[in-house]
Amino acid sequence: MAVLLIVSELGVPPPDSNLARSVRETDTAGHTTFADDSKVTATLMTDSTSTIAAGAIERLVEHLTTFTELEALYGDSSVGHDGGTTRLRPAWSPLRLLTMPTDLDHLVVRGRHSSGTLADRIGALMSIEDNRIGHVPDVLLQIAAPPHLDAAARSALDRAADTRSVRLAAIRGERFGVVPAHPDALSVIIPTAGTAGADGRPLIHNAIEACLASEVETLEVLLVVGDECRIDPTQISADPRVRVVRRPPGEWNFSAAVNLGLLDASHPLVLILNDDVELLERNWIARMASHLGDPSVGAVGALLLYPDLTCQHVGMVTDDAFPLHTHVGRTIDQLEALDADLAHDRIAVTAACLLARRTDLLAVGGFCEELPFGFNDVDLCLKLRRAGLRVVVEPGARLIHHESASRPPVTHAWEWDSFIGRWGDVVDPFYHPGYHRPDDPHDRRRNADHLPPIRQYRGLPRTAVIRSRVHRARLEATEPADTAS
Amino acid sequence: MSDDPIDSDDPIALRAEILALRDRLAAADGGKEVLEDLVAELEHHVAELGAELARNPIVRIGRALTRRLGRR
Repeated sequence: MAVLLIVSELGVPPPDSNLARSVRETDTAGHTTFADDSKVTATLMTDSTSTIAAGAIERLVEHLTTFTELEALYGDSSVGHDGGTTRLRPAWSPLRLLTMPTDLDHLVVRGRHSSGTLADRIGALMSIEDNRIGHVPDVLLQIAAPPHLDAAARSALDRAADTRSVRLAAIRGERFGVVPAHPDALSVIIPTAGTAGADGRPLIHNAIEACLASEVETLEVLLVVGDECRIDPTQISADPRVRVVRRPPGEWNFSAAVNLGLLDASHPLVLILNDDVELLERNWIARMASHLGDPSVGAVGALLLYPDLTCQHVGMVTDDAFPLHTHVGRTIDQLEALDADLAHDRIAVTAACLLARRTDLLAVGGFCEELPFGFNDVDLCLKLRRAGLRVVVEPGARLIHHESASRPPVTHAWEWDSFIGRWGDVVDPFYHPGYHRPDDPHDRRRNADHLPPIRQYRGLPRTAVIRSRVHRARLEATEPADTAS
Repeated sequence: MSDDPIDSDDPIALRAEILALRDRLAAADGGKEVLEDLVAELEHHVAELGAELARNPIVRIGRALTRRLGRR
């Protein structure tokens, strides 16, 4: 028999829930019994104001039966009355829980639990491995309002932050940021051709100033230059922390240039940086470095803004396997309204500003030199993710990026073929399939991720880590019955 | 001595070669996963086709005829 226990913060099922419509049998304690032999026992933890979507319980039981490796599930929600706002969620992102805990309006966990408060939900999640938490891309609940972060939930949140080796600070209402942590030592790698900006001054000066202003105790800035460099690299900076690494003669190759710097770097943390960035605030490196205290994080990206202070990069998504920057052209206010200014997990971040551990980058072979112009950053992030590491973006770290000012943007079809040959049809766990627009061209300025979904999406559970196993499980779940006579 | 990095005395060239090999290894792992997905997908399609064929009346009649002929 499959049993789904439904509990709210009151310890009983939500009084207004439409359970009678969804289940075959429910006792007074909220034990919902299904007349099948799937042997599932789980608890749906939610608030007393929740209404469960028609058929959601049956689907949850089905998913729990099929995806036996998953210990917890959550879905999408409709918030407010008369349909309200649909909250389409990404696959499990530990950072998203830490930065916006009140988004966790429900959770399904295996076993019996007697209480379903927000604190209970946070506590339950923190005891489960990341790759055993699945997201069901499907509206499972309608809730009147997001849960409130009471003292118990705040305490559970701080414990959760401790397990991730980060400290939290409220940035607005019940939204949190990670407290900056200055790294002890850092190597910055900047490939440069010495291109001049609109004012005639080489762009690289701004990038170096941004690094030197960051108050990192032990810092080295490696300028990787080749024959194409338009200025004398030895004259770029007199600061002893800045030194030049010369590329051997040959065609420009961003990946090879970064790898050269990577091999020469002296410190355990490395920051890959474009030469066309400009400082906005001094704490940017500390904000990024705070995430590398968590050993599960492998790469950290930043919020990059165009000179008009609209968004150029706050992480990437892949749609139909094609990498896109998300929230391009949005103002800071708009990012805040969309919660896109909070640290979160992404499939990839741009190498225009990417912080990582040197050992992790060396372990995966650095940047792919067969991708000299494009897709090399996505490729690197996919390699890190495949090695079991997470890729996160810290929008609190902000720089101005004169995108492609130093080198015209080039995307070669052969690089795309090479990228697809390495990774196939990349499935982005953090990009909700409800946002997919099959008829859209791959427009980099498209504001992926915050357009209203074009269709109600009902999908199968996905995790942030396991890809092929879930894929295979899906295929097995839909395997046609043998009808041979 | 050849142009092959394995013959190089230059530690930078040797380290770069190790890095490139690690990259290829990581890509091969990724490629293996891609192939596994494709194989799973193909197996699923084969199973679907098999089930579709089994439901086809002509195939069912053929099987029945084969059984009857076998009994003779």
